[in-house]
Amino acid sequence: MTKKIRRISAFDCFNVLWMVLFAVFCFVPLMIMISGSLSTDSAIQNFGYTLFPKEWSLTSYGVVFSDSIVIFRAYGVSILVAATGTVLSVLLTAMIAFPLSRSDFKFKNPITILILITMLFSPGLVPTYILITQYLQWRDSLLALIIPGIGGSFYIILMRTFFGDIPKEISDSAKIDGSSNFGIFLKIVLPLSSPALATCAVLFALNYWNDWYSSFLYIESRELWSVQYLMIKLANEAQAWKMNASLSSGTESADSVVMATCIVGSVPVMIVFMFLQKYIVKGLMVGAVKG
Amino acid sequence: MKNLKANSEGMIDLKVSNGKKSAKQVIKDNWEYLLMCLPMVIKIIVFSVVPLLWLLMAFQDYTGYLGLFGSPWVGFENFKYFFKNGQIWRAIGNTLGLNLLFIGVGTPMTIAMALFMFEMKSRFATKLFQTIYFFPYLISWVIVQYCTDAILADNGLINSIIQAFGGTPVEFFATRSAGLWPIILLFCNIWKNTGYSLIMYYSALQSLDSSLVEAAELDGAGKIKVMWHVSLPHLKRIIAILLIMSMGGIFRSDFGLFWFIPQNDISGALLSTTETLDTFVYQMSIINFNYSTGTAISLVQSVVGTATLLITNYIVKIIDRESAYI
Repeated sequence: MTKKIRRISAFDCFNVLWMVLFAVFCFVPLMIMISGSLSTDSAIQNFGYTLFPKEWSLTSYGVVFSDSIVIFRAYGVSILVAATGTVLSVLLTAMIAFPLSRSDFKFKNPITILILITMLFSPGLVPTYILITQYLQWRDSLLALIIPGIGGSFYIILMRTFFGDIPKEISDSAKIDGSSNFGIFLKIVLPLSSPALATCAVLFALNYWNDWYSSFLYIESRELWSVQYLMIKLANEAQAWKMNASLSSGTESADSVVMATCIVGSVPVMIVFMFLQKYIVKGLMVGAVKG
Repeated sequence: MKNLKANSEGMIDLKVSNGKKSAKQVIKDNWEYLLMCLPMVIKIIVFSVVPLLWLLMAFQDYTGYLGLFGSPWVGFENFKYFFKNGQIWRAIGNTLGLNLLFIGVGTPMTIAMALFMFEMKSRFATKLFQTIYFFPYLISWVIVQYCTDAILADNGLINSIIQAFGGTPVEFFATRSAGLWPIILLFCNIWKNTGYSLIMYYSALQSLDSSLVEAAELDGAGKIKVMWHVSLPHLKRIIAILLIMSMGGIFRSDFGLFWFIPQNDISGALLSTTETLDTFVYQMSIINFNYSTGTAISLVQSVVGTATLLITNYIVKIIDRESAYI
């Protein structure tokens, strides 16, 4: 059959228009960030924030990198926390999800109930705060950023669903061949579910990367600032950097430096996650279909 | 399977597997599984179960140096205190109102977008739009606050536009603009979370049987009719699940959104419409060291959240048995 030429209906026009408008809506803040970072401070003072710079300048990036130790250190802390946290999370989640996906595990129900309870009933801010600061003494320690965030009920259930989809015949035949449950886990289940592990790893990494709340509560010393915490303190920091770089350029504000730091702090990660997005989509799909 | 294993290990196993197994035997059979569960179970117990003990603080006049076991018991004093306190009712009202606003506007809009996106046949376009919509989800509120500041500040984008058309600029961060903030927060919430939930709804649509759509089209149904009568009913289950989840979170709030975006961390001028239970708890306990009251509120949040989740689940179950979550 010949290919039918699709008539462009009013419906399609409306559809595309809506999608494009929403895309612009999503994009405007990024545009402002980019434009602000490329403007001179005096342009921002005189004309306000605009979608395109009125007076172009790259000095703000110069200022950010003139005191580059701060931002690179923050990157180091964030990467260290995210990497350790992600590895531990994937490992521990897979280790608990595997028994829960097996029908011959006798303690399946009590452990599932334990997980569901923690999903519904969270202890809240104060008990966790007291536990970490007074009993574990993790104030100003990276452990406070890594350990409490490990895993999560949602991911355990997600991974259990993935593992449950692996055909039972494969592990049964391995068992007949004399393989232990550890062997089945390491040699069959883990390799077969590498897409699931990747999905969870990306979601864990994103959560760790964007976690500013733990630093906000538990971190004081400058050496342990993560990128997100640096962003919280940014307004003051940018002023100081500008003074250090002696680039006051007649104005008191450091608006463009703030915007430049936002770009430096968010864009590289955005690009990385854009490439990893298909894994996130896959994970959400399983979550959506299976509940 | 079981018998095969038992045979290789000898007679005793065979005998036991016929009757009820002793506790020792059960552990022996499952020790590998138990060992694998152990690290995560320990983590859950330490960070999610043990802290529940401190919820008892809600019934105490807690002071740090006396600790949980030394502080005097006061019964329901903390609860009485906060129900008498006008500020808490404001926070409860804001939390409920804003959450209902987010659910009531955000959910139908996202579902509609998923349905329309599903009608777009170009795979490239849908992928592109999904990627663009998803990127706000990747940025944390602490960075977004600088963007919203650039848009809403006195020299921000919106005021530039207003002035270009000869209007008087609006001071968005002043107390008298507080009435505008529910709408601004709604926009922020839609901006950040639509891409994420859109993917959920869109993925659920992927499993829609295309022959159903074709049959409806053959019967003369237009695109809108197909959407309403074929695609939307297909989303029933996922809508129910996400609705139940968000109703369970109705007493909770996204701390970053309500703390940083209205700049409550520095000014507090907009507290009357932007203060929620979570920012209230933070202020109460971490800034003012009033641990007992903070915990009492957290306890109420958990109890009410669980209750609304179960109630919503129950209602969904009555309307449509299959869609219920639990």
